[in-house]
Amino acid sequence: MVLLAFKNLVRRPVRSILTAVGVALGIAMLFTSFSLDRGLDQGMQRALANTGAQLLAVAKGCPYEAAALLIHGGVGGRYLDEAHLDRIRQLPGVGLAGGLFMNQLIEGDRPVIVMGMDAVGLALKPWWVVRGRPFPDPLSAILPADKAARLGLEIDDPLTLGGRSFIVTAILEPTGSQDDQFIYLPLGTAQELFGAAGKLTAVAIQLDDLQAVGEVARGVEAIPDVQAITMTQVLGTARTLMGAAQAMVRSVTIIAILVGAIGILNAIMTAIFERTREIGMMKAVGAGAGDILMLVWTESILLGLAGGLLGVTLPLAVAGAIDAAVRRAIPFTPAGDILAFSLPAAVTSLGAAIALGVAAGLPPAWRAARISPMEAIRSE
Amino acid sequence: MSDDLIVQAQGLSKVYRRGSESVRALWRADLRVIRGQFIAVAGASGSGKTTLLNLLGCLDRPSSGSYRLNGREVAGLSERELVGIRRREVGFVFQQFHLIPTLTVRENVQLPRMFGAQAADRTDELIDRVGLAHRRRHLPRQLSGGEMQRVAIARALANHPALLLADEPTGNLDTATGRQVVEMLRGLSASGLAVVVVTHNPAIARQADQILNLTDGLIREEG
Repeated sequence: MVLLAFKNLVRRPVRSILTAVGVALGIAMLFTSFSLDRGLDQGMQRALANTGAQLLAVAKGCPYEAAALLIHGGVGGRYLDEAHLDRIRQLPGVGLAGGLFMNQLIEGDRPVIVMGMDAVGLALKPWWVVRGRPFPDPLSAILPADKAARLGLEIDDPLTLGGRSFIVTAILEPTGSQDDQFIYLPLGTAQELFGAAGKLTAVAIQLDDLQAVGEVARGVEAIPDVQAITMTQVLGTARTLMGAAQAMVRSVTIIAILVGAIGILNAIMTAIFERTREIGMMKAVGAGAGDILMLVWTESILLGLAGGLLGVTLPLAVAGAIDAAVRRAIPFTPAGDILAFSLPAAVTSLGAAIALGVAAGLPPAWRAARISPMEAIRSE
Repeated sequence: MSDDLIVQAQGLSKVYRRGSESVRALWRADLRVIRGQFIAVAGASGSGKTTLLNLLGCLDRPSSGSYRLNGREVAGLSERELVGIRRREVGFVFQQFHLIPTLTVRENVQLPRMFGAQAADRTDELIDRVGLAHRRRHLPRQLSGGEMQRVAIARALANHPALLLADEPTGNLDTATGRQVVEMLRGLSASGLAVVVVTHNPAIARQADQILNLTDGLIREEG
């Protein structure tokens, strides 16, 4: 039966291929959507974990802005007074608290994000692999390896930033996170470079005890003009920001899947009209209504399966292009892979394709099963 | 009842409704066909030949009358039961052959078995019998008209039927090839099969053991 169904599809190869491609587009979007949801979430959690902190103290203002700064880097409109850093360090439950200053300048025609950090800031990132000497003096700089390679710089080479000369004293090996996008300067030097002495973008806080997060957050918010943001809140904010774009992707996916279903319905219905006499012959030689229903249904399911296999393969083949398109379309995408392909998502997508074949094939299969052999043969 | 009696129809009628009008496609036909008999059904277009063939092949139910096929009354059976009868008792040969173009000769002959025909697998034997052993793996498009009709005959025999029904089996063939096909059907009846052939061709009808002439749904004469 399966062989017969397969050979019936092969009889009209162009129609079958186009129908399968129609299904594949919908399934590819579904698989991409699943992988994107998972990838963005993992990337976001990775980005937050890479801050090395469980709590951030920022100037009172927009939490979305704080989340974007943290994930993507950039220019914050509001600053904290550096004097608050000592007060935060003295709060009960605080392990490490590092002052961070972030700003952006243009070098040539490229934006460069500068991150100022002190020794505590470095201690918050114990997984960093750094070659050379981090911040031996105020005019030293740490360059991520990719950036150093792009600029053709090595340790002890001079670096000009904002019209001032620095020396590259250390190279940060790739982290696969947003940390690879910045240039690192000593905190005081960075503040001075942007005319913001005594100002901080944020204080990254590592807790002694995670259970104390609420208590520490209340302590931070007791400081005037300072708000505390937990990583859970940042994650929630980031998810909200990405949610609208993901909802749009889901809507397009549903439409694409419906188009695929209509494609199958149309292809199978047309095939039945063309093969009416043949179906009559099959009934004459002993096929029951159930046999014909199963035959036509199998053809539809095979089309769904072919579309599903193609649809699951397609995103794997063009993952790079999807990554680039998503980064253009969705704000605050984290560094690293944002498409996390997984076997369960592939199996679910393939299952959806088969379900599509089952659903779209039923009406024509039912119709074919009810063809009268006599009428069909008489149509000769 | 004799075991040799394959078809026994009495008062077999089929009446269709066309709007408010009743059309007697077949009216009170009596018919007996025994094992090994070769029957020709002749008549003008619309005379009821195909209706008779459909009733004999259990593709349709009579409006009234009795029809015993191979000793079993089939006139009142359900569609599901009729499928079972077609699977076991009847073989069909059509004017247009109706081979599946993507299946090989062998696969086309096996088709009834795909749909649950329980008879022993005699596919290769049947292909040999119709003289197409060298064409076993060929597709229909690689065959001549006569060869395609021989494949269709082998397919009709795949379920080891008691009754073979052929609707204008030579209608799409030249005279010489048509003659070969009729000889083959004649040979099948000689080997014990009951064969009923619908034909317009007097030359074929003349070779039959009995000719049924149909006019306006009535069997007018038996020759």
